[in-house]
Amino acid sequence: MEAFEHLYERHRTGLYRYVLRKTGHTATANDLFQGAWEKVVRARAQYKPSTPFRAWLYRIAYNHVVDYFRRVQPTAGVLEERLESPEPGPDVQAALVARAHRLRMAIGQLPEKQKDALLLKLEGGLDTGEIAAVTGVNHETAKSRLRYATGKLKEMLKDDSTDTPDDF
Amino acid sequence: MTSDPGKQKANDKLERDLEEFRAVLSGPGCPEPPDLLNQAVLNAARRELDASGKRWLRRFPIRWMGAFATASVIILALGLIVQQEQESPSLPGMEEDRLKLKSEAPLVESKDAVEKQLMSKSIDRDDSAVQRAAPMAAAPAKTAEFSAEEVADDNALLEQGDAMEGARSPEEWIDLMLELKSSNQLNRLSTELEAFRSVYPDHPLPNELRD
Repeated sequence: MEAFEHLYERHRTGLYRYVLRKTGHTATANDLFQGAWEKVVRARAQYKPSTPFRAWLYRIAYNHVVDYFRRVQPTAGVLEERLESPEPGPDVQAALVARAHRLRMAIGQLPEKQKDALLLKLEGGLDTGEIAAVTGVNHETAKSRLRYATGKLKEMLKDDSTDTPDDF
Repeated sequence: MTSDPGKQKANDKLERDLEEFRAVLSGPGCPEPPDLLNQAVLNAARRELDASGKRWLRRFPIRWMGAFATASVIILALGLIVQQEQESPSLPGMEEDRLKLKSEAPLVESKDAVEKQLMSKSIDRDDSAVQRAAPMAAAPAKTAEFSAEEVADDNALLEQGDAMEGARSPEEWIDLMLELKSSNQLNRLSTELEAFRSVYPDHPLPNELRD
């Protein structure tokens, strides 16, 4: 149990953000986050120490989220994110907070495959090879998705420098 | 990574952009899993680990503990039996008792056989009994000088007599003993005499055998 607690402490924040960004809904993200960890515990016998735990963990979480989106409308999460995303209050003046908010909104607008690759990179910390393995594509495809996602984000953030997030 | 300078430059630019996005996302306001969720995940993991341990414990005794216990009992019992047989003490007189039991068993059978034979003789003296007794009756008439063939025949006859001991009548037995005396087989004679007395204690012996 100690080993699990150690791993959980190390990866909980990244995985939670990945699931939250992917679903766009806090309650759903909580359920999927907990379900992913339960799957990790149940599948612990299948883990091979020769492979990085991070990649194995995100593969399980990725499949768990994909299964969820197969059962529900894939766009529901994005709409809920727009509704539920807390707008920075008038007292929160930090430019970084606003910028992060806009970036999260922009990520929510990306195509699912590009969003997967980007979130695995940004929140999971996976390298391109691991992203390719988790998403079941080759290395070049994973890198291409990252490149497209980055280009679109930059374009959206440049256009949105003065607009509100709801205008995406 | 790559030998193409253009690709390398593009890769570097991609990594820089991604790093910038990562820095923005992990800044202030970055979401963390709530404490309740952390606790729920850890509790669920603890339950799953405990349950899997109990499942293993439940599976193991049913499938293996019973078999192990049965096999252990059987092996222990067999080991004790083998050890007891190996270490059983040979008490003085035990072997004699066993031999005595062996020798008494045919005697009991022989008594039954003799009674049956006497019954059959009293009812109907058939020719086969007479023919079987004829060579034995003729034997005492022979002299002490036997040829080698005759001695061999006598030995075969004696062996046959031993085999027929269970069904031997007193007369046949006396004839056999007389034959043994005439052939000077005194050891065998004493054995037969002793057996005869044990079977027929009240039957009179001829004078030749009383010595």
